Amino acid sequence: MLSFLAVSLILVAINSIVAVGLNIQFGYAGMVNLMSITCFAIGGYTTMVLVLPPAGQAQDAYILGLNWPFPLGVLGGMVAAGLYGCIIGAAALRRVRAHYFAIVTFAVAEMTHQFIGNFKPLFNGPTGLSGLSFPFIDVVGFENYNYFYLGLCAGVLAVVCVFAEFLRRRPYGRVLRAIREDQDAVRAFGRDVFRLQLSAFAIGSVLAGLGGGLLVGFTGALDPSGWSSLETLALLTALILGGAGNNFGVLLGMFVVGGVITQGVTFLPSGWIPNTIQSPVEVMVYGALLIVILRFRPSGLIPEHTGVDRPERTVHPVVEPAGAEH
Amino acid sequence: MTVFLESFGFGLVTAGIIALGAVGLSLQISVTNVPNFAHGELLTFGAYGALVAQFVTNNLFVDALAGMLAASVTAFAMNRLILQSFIRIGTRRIYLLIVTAGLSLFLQNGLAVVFGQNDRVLALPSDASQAYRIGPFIWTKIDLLVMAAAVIAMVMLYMLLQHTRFGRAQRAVSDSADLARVSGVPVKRVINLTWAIVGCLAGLAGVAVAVTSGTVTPQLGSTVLLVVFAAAILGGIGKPYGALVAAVIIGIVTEVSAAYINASYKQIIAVGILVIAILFRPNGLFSSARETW
Repeated sequence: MLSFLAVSLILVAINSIVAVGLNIQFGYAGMVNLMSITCFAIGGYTTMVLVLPPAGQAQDAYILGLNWPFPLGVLGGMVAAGLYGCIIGAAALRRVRAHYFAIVTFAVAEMTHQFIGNFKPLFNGPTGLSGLSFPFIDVVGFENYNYFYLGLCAGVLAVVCVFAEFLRRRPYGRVLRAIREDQDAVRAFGRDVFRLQLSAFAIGSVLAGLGGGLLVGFTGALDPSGWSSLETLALLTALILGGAGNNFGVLLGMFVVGGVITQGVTFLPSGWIPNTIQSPVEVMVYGALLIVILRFRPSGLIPEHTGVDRPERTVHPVVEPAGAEH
Repeated sequence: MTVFLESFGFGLVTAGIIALGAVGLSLQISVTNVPNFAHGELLTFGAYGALVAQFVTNNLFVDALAGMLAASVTAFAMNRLILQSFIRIGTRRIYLLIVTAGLSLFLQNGLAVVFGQNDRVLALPSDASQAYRIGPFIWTKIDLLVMAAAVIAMVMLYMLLQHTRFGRAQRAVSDSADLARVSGVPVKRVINLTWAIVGCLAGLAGVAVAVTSGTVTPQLGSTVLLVVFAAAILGGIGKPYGALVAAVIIGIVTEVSAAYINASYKQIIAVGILVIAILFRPNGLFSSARETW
């Protein structure tokens, strides 16, 4: 039981790392990025092909296979995810904003998912990759491996949170939030909005890649069914529930969504929710949560900290002044 | 050459289905200003509406009408109960998009809870897959019916938009709701009716997807959502006739390409068109410089 709890917490911690990245993109800079899970997957796959030995069996096909040590593999995964995010972000941010940006990222997520799922030579197509041995298992041993990995993920998460919080308090974080509120005004002040947005997008993508790398280290496998584009919406639900823009809110939201709801659906008294419909019920709850939160508490459980330099705030971040739009 | 022409024929069928979805989406965005990620679920509701109607009758025409009704009611309710309540409190458009994504998750999985996640088979008339050779094309009876339904729906929509008072009011609202309001157009009623019509079109599209594939799943709509978006955006938001042309282009390009390269990349090509359209022609193929939405 305790070990099972550790497994759940590992997954929550990994998803939180991705969510903190998404928070920098969406919560700070206001970019609705629906391909967060794609960068996560690219980080995971890249880590695997760097760490795994070359593809041997006739059934399997994947690129590289370099036998690198795990930490180096994760680093490679972060670079790959960051590069992919940069390419897509540069193309999209230069030309579109707001909902067009959301649609482009969603479209790219779908395309990437379909391509990786069908194109065998890259990451073994629909079968996906497997067979990664647990990193550091020979040092730690099987006995306490889950606890060790939980510690590792929690440590990485702590570093990531401190980093994100550091960014938020810097002028960099302030200018990102200014872009979120009114990017034309920021441009009028002479800031290079494109570069600032792209850098935030890249940071978020790198963090998503880091999450992917940590996930494959724990599961040892990754295939296309594990990262449908819908997972990004689950992350977004957690973000908005906890409070977009606030890193503590993100952690709380991720804990509620990833921990309480996911495990709650599984642990309800048997018969309340039949096994066959558990996953649709879970996703239904995400959808309903998104709608209810955005309607009744759009700033989330722990609203964004607005800072002392703006004590009186009359306009809610999510709400536009009356009459601005219909 | 025969391969090309045959796949061209399939492309026209696909185009009919995409057009039904995309013309509706384009109309809806033009009056509401929100890209609706739950539009795919309207198609799914149409398909399930037809499926439920099959408990009563196997008459495909009646089943299709039931599907359209189901989707229409869903669309109307979606707007009145959810979206309007957000618009009233002044939620930003970008958050409205997330709301529609949440709606999509909720409705799609709600259907999975009610009807189960497995494929449901839609009973078709026994001669449904009988093939007809018309000129260089080969179509089944279902294909012909789908194309006929699409053409009839488009002609009716054209009459409605161009030759009725509602059509004039609808175009006025999509140009500027404020100007329409001060000119005495009942904006609210126009928006409500638009959603109902959009639901009808989407429901018909969903039934068309179901009869051509033979199965109904909760994911039916969300798998074609991006293709429908591609047509709506390539055609130019708020230009239903542009969406029609774009649907024909996308339908033919995807089916013809599927005949020559691996068919599993069909979806990628359709979505690729969407990305290119947004990046290079965000106001559509037939755009003036004016930003539409």
